[in-house]
Amino acid sequence: MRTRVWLRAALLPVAAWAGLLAQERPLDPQTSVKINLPPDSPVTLLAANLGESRATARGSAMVVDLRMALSLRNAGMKRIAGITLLVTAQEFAPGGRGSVASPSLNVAPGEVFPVRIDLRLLRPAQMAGGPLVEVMLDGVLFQDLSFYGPNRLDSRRSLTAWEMEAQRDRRHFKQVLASHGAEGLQREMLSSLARQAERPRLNVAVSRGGRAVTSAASERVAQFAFLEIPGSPVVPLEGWAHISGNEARAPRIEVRNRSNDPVRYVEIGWVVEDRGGRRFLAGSVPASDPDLYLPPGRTGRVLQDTALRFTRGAGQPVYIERMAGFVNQVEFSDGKIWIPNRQALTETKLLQVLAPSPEEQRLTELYRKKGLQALVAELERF
Amino acid sequence: MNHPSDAALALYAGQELGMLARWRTRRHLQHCERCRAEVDAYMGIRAGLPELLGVPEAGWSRLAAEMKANIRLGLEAGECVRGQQREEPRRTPLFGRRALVAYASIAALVAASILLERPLPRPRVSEGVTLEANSLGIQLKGDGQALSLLHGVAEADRNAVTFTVGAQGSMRARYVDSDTGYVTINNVYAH
Repeated sequence: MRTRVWLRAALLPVAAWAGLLAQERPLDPQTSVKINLPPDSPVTLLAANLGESRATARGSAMVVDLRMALSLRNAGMKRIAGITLLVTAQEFAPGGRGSVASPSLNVAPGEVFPVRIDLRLLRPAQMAGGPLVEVMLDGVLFQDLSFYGPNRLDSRRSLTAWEMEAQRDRRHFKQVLASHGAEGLQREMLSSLARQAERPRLNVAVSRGGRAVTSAASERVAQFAFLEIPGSPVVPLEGWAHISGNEARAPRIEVRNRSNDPVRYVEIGWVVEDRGGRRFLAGSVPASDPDLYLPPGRTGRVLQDTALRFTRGAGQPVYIERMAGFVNQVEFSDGKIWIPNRQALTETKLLQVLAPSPEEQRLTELYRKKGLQALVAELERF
Repeated sequence: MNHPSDAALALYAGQELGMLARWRTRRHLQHCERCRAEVDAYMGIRAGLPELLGVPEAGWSRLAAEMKANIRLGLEAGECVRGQQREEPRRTPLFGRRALVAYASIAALVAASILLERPLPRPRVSEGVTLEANSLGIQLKGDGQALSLLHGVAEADRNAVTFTVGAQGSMRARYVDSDTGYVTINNVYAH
């Protein structure tokens, strides 16, 4: 009996320590976050507000809740079209890093612009020394599509593709304005907002390295049907993935470069159809090989060892009936990017399935909140 | 003192270092408390998500009994080993030329077989860890537990968030910031 009492007394500090570990604490702006901008960076940091950012120790891990607002200044000579920041708490376990990108910018030299960082990251509680989180510049895209930055996250490609989509969609809306006037632009905005509202919203889970939940017994190999995108420099030849109920895994797609230039990156859009005939975008299948090089006329494979699972509402499975694929993005060896044009998206009815581009999302949101005049004024800025 | 890199410590924690590097790291860890703490931390975070959702309730009586039993077992095991060491008769080592040649051959054979047969250490993908985009945002899931990785969008604007999935194991949440009007794209990675 006495031994038990002594043991309990000895374990009390352990319990107290565990309780302390579970406590939240605000981040110290001086020591918790390090913002690393290279000395020759085209953006400079004016202010960093950590706001409600918190760190919470839970067991052997620490959860870092970042709610930061950065003020950056364009210190270069060119207009900035987009920026990506890499945010790292640790690199070796899931949940340790994220990134924040701001595309569709139009920041003149000397102008100040905000970047918000709202992420939750994990790190070991006992990791020795240094700041809890490091924010680094991964890349800045200028309006002439030139790029600055270490590009660890392939920001150059992402930012360039977003900027090209932005240019494509602005051009489209300007054409509508020119040919059908403000009323025509208004109809186009309403149509886009309706598409965004009607787009099926599914819960998608992605896991790397094989099957997520289902058994191999019910699995079948399904072929991709391909949507022909006019003008695409790469054509898909054949492809398949393993389907089991509401799970699709290990997509493999063979593609041929039919352009005259070598290709170094291909991304296939992956559309699945449920038993009710509703189509939705499952995700994108990027080429997994970072050293992909596809000379003119040659074939190559786009594949990923991954599993996607689809549910809706409170977890009801969405059973996959058919799959389709289309070439969504191509990068040539000289860094130029190809994306489908607006007409091709309309003709293939992909416009109904795909998410709007970041720029279309921004412009429709501007229209929704500030009205038609503000939208017209915004289009005239470009 | 030269410390192993963070990557080496993380790989050591996941038992994914090559044989030689593992041996070197183990030797280093024997007398470097800092690196040992880092390895413990990596082991902890790899051990799974359940821990992240809070410190579990401890059954103190059961814990105390477990500790006492383990201590007793350790003491008894120590006694056994000491007893055996005392009782073992001294053996005369074999140092003849033939024996030395035989030992060298066996050692070479073992080394060659290890080099030939040892599978290359492969980076472990986050098997069992899933990224899921749902009405709550993007969550990291594993072992039936979940941890939200993205927040920051007001409840009223939740429907305006566009999630996109990269089959390489990443997820993007895109929304228009209601204060600034700028598009923000958050990316999280499953590995």
